[in-house]
Formats: sequence, structure tokens, C-alpha cells
Amino acid sequence: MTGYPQEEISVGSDPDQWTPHLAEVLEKPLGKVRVTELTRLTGGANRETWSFNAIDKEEKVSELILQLDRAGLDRLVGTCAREARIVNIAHGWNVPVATVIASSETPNPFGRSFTITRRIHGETIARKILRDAEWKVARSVFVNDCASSLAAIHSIPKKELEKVDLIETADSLLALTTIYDALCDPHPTFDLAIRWLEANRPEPLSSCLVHGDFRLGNLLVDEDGLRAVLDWEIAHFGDPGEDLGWMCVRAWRFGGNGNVAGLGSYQDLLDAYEKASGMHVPLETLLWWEIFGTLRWGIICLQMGGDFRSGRTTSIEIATIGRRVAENEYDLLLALKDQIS
Amino acid sequence: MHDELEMALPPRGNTPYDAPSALQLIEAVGLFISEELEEETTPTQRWKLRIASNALGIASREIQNIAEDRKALKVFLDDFNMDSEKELSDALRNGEFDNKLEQIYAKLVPMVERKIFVANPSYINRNNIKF
Repeated sequence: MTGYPQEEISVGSDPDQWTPHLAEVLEKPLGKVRVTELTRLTGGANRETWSFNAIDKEEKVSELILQLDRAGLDRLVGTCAREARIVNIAHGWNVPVATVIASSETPNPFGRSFTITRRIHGETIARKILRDAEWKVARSVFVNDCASSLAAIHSIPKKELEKVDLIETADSLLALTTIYDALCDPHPTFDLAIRWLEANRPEPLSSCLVHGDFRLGNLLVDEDGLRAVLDWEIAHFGDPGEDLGWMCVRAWRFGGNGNVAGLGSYQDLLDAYEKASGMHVPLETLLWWEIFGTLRWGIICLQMGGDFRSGRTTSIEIATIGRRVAENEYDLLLALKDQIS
Repeated sequence: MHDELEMALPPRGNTPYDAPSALQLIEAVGLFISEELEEETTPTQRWKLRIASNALGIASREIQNIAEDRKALKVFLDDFNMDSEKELSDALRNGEFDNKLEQIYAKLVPMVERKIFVANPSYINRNNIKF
């Protein structure tokens, strides 16, 4: 990971200066509009996210979301526009996604790749989805909805995506350990897990489009259930088990009791996924991918903390993520308890 | 006249520096963030301040525990005749401990618990997870 900016160029430095650019970009899809209420939203270490309204001549208000690649992040150049292409294809395959209004590679008025989508009303904050009374119905169908959406994502033929620049990860464990080894910061717990994962590999399920970050926080729900799958930044071709296991990683349960996103049981997910996709996934395969996912999140935390240690960022948020490695080690040891001891 | 006893400052121990200590300064900044700044800020700033406050907590616990945790790490590595975590990691990956994984596992648990106690002591209780 390279290229964090020392000084971020932000729309926020003078939002009013950017509203004419937004109006210009929106002229083709929406006609002449004026832009109001440009407001930066929280969250997202790799993106800038803004909400705003576009109002046309007849005073019709379109509620929109603008996402921009974060300035100076070389490794992410063009990801917003690439993501928009994937989202448009996924929409055609019945995956719930936000409607893309406009997107662009650079050059454009912002100097960065961006996407503008329609704003969907609902909730993405995990602790609210897991606990607030407002989302009770959504919780009751959540695992089912996720399984259906994953089945839809995994069913998209590769040839549909051939014009999108997607990485094919044939051996996820090898790819992950290569990153870990390159970081030169050994953690015996991680090596214990890698040893176990190497010795207990399940049969591959298939090779398909994998969302790569399908979890609470990137899933928008309304009162009735899952409305949109967000954040396709690290979508790639790989084993569908990766997405299924990632949902079960303890960090993404946000303190909930269920094994799947804090809400459901392993069997709930496996049954719903089999019903939607026709693919039987053995429990041992799911558990292997959960342990893989826990290791993966640990290595991502190590990598992000490394960006601070190497001086590529001064962000306190990134710095503290480095200290979350211990949580992942703890979770790995818990997940390996019945496998090793 | 002031009472001399009331004027006596708390002992600062055997240190070459003046008081407040590093820990006391960290605590003071933490309180400034949580009690003075947080109420005057936007939700985004409040979220970042909470992260800053957590970072100070980690620093404070590290200062208090590092001597003991260093000793524990040495004992842990000595038990396996290893000089460093890198040496142990390499040996694990090469399969040298394949017949001792249970033993390694059992000794890793308390080491990781020490790290968690410094990094985020509420993690274990919040998730109600125990070995």
C-alpha cells in the first residue's frame, strides 16, 4: 500500500467551489440542476463520501451521493469508476445496489475518479441494525437476504465482466501469505493459523465474481431488509466461500450473538445460500473461510498500521487500526480452539 | 500562613523529570478531549476525538505494562528455545512445531491476552468471549 497524501486535497476545503462542477457533471443524466446541501459523511478510510441534493428547473429534488477516490492514494486511482461499472453489471443480475447516475475516470473537474449514485434511505451502521427496534423485521430476514444477494453476485458470468479490470485470485491463501511475508512483521499467531489453513484446505467451490467486503457496514438495510450492497472496491474473481466466510468473521458480528453477521447461525446461511444458488457448501468449508477471513482482517490491520509506521499517513484512525491486530489474533485463537487443542 | 503539610506535593518518585509524569499528561489530555472538546464538536469530529482518546488509553496502558510484558515475552520464547518472534514464526511455518501445536497454542493465548489488555481491554468482555 503506497501513496497516502501528506496533505489531502479535499472538496471540503471549499464545498461551494465544487457545486458548479457537480452541476456540470449532472447535466447529461439529469438536465440543468443546482446543487445544494453538499455535506461530507463519516467513514471510509479510502474514500471521500458526500451527500447532496440536485434540484432541477421544476424544483424536483434528487438526493444523491458522491464518492471520490481519496486524493493522493495511488493504489486506488480509478477505483470509483471501476466500481461503478461492476455495480451497473450487478444491477442487471438482480443484486440490490444503488443506481449509478454518473461516474468518471480522470480527467474530470475533481481531478479524481468519482461516482454519483442515488441516495437510498436506510441504515448501514452495524450496531443500529443489530439492536434498534426500527430494524427488527430487517434483522429477521437479513441472513436470507444476504445469501440471496451473494448467490446473485456469484452467478454473474465472468464474460459479463471481461471489460472490468478484475484480479483473478486462484489461491487466496497464497496471495494473503505473500502480502503478510512482504510486511516483515511476524506474528506467531498468524503463522500458526497459516500452518493450519495450509494443512486443511477445502475443495474449491468454484471461481466467480467475489464482492470481497460483504459484511455489516457495507450493507444498507431499510425496514424490510437488505436494500443495497455497497463498497465494491475490492471485488475480484475468486472462491465464493471467501464472501460467505467473511460475513462470519467475529469483527463483523459487531458484538452480536449470531455467527453470521451477529444475527444468524452457520446453518441458516448455508441453507439459504444453497436454496438461492443450488450450491451445497459444507460447514467445514465455511469455517475454513471464516478462519481465513479472520487472518485476512488481521493482516489488513497490520498493513494499515504499517502505513502509519512508514510515514505514509499521519491519520490517527489508521494508527489505531494497527493496534487492532491483537483483536484478530485473539479471534483467530478462539476460532482455532476446537481445531488444534 | 499556609499549613506546611497541605503544601506538600505528591511524591514524584525516583525520576529525572519534573511532574506531571508522562502518564499524568496523557490522562490530562484524555480528559480534555472527553470532557471539554467532545461537547463542542460535530459528530464526525466527535468520532475522531474518540479514536484519539482511545489512542491515549493504549499509550497509557503500554507505559504501565511494558516492563512486565517484555519479561513474559522472553519467558514465552525461551520455553521454545527461540530468540525472537520471527524465529518462532519461521519455525511454525516450516512445520518444525507440527507435533507441538497444542503446546504453542496454549502458550500463545496468555500472550495475546496481554496484548489485548493493552490495546483494548473491553474487547473480551464486550464480546463475552472466553477460551
